[in-house]
Amino acid sequence: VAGAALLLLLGPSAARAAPDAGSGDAGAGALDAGAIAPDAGASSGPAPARTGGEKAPLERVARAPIVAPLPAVELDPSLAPVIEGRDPAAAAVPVAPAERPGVVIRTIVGLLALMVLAYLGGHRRVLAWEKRLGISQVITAGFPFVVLGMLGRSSSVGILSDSILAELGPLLRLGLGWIGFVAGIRFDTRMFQGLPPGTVRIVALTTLFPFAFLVGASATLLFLFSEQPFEPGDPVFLRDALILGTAGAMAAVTSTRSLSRNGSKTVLSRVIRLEELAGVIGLLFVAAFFRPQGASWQMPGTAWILLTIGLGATAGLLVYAILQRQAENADFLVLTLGSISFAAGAASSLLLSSVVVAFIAGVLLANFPGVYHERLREMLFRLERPIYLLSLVIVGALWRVDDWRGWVLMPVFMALRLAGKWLGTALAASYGGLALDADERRAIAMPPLGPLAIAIVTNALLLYPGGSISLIVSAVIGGGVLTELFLQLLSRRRSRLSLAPGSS
Amino acid sequence: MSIFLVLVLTGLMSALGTFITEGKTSAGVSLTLGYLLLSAYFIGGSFKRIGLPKLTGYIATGVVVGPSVLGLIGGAMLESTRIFNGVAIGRCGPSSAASARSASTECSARRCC
Repeated sequence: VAGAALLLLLGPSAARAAPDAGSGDAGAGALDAGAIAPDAGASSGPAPARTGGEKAPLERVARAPIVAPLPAVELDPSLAPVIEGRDPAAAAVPVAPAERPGVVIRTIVGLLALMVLAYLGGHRRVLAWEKRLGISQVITAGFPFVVLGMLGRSSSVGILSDSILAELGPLLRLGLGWIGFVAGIRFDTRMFQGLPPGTVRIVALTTLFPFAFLVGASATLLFLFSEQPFEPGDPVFLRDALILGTAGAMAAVTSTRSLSRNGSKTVLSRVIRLEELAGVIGLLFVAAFFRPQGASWQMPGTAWILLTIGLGATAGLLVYAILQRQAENADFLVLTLGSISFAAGAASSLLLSSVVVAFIAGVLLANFPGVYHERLREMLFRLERPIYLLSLVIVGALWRVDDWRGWVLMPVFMALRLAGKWLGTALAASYGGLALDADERRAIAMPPLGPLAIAIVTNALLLYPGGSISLIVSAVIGGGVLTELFLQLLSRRRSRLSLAPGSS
Repeated sequence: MSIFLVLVLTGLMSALGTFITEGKTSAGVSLTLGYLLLSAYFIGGSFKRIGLPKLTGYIATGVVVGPSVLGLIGGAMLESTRIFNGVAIGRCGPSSAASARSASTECSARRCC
């Protein structure tokens, strides 16, 4: 919501910064897109070439887009395999005949090991062991997989070569769809019945402050890193800042573990669910208003929002009809896998966010009547962790660690996110009308980053593959790990102090 | 109901396929994989109901949606989904071996009795 407000506020300046946005490039784009070209006048701009110079009445009322179109960006070569798939015309990297068996065996064994590790990473005994060690937060536990991805991509190991990454690309899209679907299926509206008064205010404040801090700081830093002249309505700065702000507002549900009272846990988990909703809405707005290059239809951002919601609802209804069938466990897995893959692929084909589309489908399924709920939840949660960990391997392979600007953004992301959360919680505790004890306040003010934040930036990486977006990925992954390390240190220090003689 | 679902899926697949221009994107592979899994499942089930093997239904699905008939899945996309051939064969091998072993154990047990 804050993102939408910001877009609307910046709208006039953005339109002034690009007075002919929509009438030039976008209009040409509309001409290229044969299917939608007749409606171009009602979309992002007029199509002067088609009308022969004389303006039709509809064109006179056509408004410039709220956000200027994104400039053309060259596809990052390291991302090309995942985005475009394997190019049949490209020559394979030559390997000496004597080395070929070794390369094949290494690749198969390496991929198998990754899959086994991902499976074990989701096993309940491993989860219990992680919990005992205090590394149960999702990002810390998943970080070794990011490192494995980086190692696998390195030329010395060479497991995740371009062609292998191209084959694994759909897995990343499936993973994003799966995470979005799981977030949606948790969003049972009955969960929000009887919310204590002031809960929504807490959600608003703890989401808005980190969002605002991160948008401001990241826009400034990205401007400093860039060599281009500053323009307040520059769509690239704005897009990156909004993505970073949206990701930073997310919290992990594991922050409720420190609470002893069940009532507090329930309220806090609801707060986090509502924050996730805010994150999904943020991603929906970014993907709708900042259309990636190559989008064939030229429509206003609001139309893309409606299209995203419609696609999510269609996917939800379709999956609902599919899941009405009585199926064995293995068949049920096939249906679930196929449904999520189809929804994620449909969203990606239209250059929409697969996380958002799958989330909407998941929300509908969570709230429709039926007997499939428990079974579906069990299936989704069982595979959530292995799929998430395998996705992290691919994210690690795509992570550009050699860019120093990403490393600068990491601590800034961590500090401003926690500062925003802390300030939002302090204000909510003072004026929010909901009584919070010290533990509850700490859990809301100092939460680790949730997996949805990683999904949001990874989705952004797939939507806008090039330019400064890789910095955002570095900031969120690295910032998430730093946050968890910092919180662990803080928690251990607090435990030591409370055990010290003389402490009350 | 199964046929209706397959028709809806096919309509969506056909509409969405128009956006995948190069036919080799990972988005297209994800879409194709989902479509194939779902439509083959339903058509295989329909074949079973009329007394034909499910496998025949899966093959029929591939023939109909492939480049030869409807062309919903083009040649480039088929090339991109090649990894699933290997995975499927890898899955079928142990599964067939396990079935054969269990059948042979059953035969031995019968002989013993």
